Amino acid sequence: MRVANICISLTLFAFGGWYLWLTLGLPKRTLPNTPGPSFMPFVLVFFLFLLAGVLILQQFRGGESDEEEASSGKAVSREKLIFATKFFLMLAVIGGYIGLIEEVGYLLSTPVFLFLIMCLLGERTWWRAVFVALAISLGLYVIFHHGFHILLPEARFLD
Amino acid sequence: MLDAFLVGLSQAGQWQSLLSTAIGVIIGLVVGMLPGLTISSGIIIVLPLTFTMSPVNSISMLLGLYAAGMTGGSISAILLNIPGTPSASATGLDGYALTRQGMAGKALGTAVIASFGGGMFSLLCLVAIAPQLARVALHFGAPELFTLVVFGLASVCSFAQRSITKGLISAVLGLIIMTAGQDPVMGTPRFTFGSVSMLSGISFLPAMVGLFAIPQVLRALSGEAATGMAAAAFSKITGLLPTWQDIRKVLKTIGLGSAIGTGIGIIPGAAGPIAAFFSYDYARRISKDPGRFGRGALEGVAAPESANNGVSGGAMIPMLTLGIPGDPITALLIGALMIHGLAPGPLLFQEHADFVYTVFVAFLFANVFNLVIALLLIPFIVRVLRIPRVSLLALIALLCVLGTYALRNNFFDSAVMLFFGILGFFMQKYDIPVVPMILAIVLGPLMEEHLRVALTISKGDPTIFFLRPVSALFILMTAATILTPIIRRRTRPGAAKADQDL
Repeated sequence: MRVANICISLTLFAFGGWYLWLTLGLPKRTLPNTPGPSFMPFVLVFFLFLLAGVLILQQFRGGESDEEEASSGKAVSREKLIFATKFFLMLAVIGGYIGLIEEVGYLLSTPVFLFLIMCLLGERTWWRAVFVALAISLGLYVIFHHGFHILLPEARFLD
Repeated sequence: MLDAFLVGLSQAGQWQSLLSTAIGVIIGLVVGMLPGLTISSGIIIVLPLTFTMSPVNSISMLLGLYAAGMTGGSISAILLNIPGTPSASATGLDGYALTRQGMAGKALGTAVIASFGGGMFSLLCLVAIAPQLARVALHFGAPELFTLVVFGLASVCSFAQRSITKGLISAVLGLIIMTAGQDPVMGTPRFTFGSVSMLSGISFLPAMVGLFAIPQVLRALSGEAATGMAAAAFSKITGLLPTWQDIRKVLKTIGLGSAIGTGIGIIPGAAGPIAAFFSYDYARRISKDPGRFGRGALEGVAAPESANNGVSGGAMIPMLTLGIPGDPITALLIGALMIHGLAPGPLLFQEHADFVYTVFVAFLFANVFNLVIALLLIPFIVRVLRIPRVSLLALIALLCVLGTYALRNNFFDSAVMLFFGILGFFMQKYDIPVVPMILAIVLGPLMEEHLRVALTISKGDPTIFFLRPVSALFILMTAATILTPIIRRRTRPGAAKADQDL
């Protein structure tokens, strides 16, 4: 965790630097003795740098050892690789669903989305995944559309 | 007051509100019962569905969910020794022991009755204290309100987190995120990157949904998702109602637990799990036979359950009167009220007194419905534990996308939700608490507004925060809140490690 905390601190410094650069581009105050729109960002970036510095100092004053992590070896790395793959696939599925639902429409895209999610989460019985995906999609369509009058996207290519 | 109460009764007593309360209770029991799903997740999932409801029906459903969620966590804690919510962790110590002795029904019944006791006691405190506190808070100016918000944030960072530094970092990041959009005083666009969607800033709902719900789905990738919970304990559920003798035995425990939970609930950041364990420990210490605890003592079930439901009313006191959420759940309730144009705070009591008392009455119904529905339906509701977790998580992922879309009919919010989901996952992986960020997102715009107004009043002189007595008091309390755990760690390293392990 020590190495991770140092990386977090450095990331915070980098993010703080970028945020400070953006803040410098904000309009200055136009009324005397009145904090302008850049006042709060300046205050926050100061505290961010301060806390990032404190975090990094804490690691050098007796932070946790990474020996435990180092000793895990090859057995863990394969699991990590599988998890990382599933992780990015999950993000791709959710991101793809958000990006495409307005084009393809709710009723076409949602069962596919649910099916893929369940497969990634470990559902091994394909027919159960299909059935649950269809049932949830239709059920929520009824609840949102007819129950709460929230319109869900329809396929643009059908227009 | 009586007039406002009667108006509240007439509004919260309509069949639509009662139905909303009942639905909220059932959802709360289910969500609370399912390990991995927190009450906050339940509220987040249900919240978008309440947009089209009236404020009364919306708050009725959410309060039903809140009250029952606390109780629901005890069901799986008692039956399976797996707490459904963090607040139910202490309940399982004696609850599961009772299940093994064939007394699951008695344990569940005691938990439900204790929850009812805790909820009702906290409601009485809420009704007694909130209007008085609101009257005092009306005299607060911008300096007091700013320092109060800072105190609220600092409390969350120091009470609930293992690393105060990381808690403060989380809060500051949340405040930074909320500077995007139009500044709350002058309306100047900030950090919008030319995007029209960003002009209205980052809405708190996608952030909350992303920070809470998406990491649960992502974490489930790490192993085989459970196909369902063991059903072995279900056959042992008989006789939910404890005897009069049993109730008399736990009455004192329920009273003390309720008081402890309500008192702790008032403090921002010190929420359910702390109250539950504190109450359990206290009940054990004052018991004539402490050795029974951990082996199936009914007091061991009653103490934490009355405390964690006592927290619900206690947390609503600062929420309604000051606009400071006592815990993440009340932060979500603040969001729900704001969506309906009702800003919690002292002005709510002045301008919408009828609604405040409607909330009180709705909370009363929520506790009563929780008692009745839980006692009637627990033997059926527990079957939900058999639903494959894979299906539930897929449903959650879908509701996260649709729920955030429903906010403004804009998938930009869903994209923001996904961003916060990734952020939340890594924050939890590297032990950076998400609760301070959530509260900072809710309180950030208010905090900036009060700060800048205060400095405008004082013509840029920061000593205004120290020269006004109440503001200075809040500053002292903030400093004490942050410094006390640090000093304790330096003077008592062993105790500090024990705190970290909690």
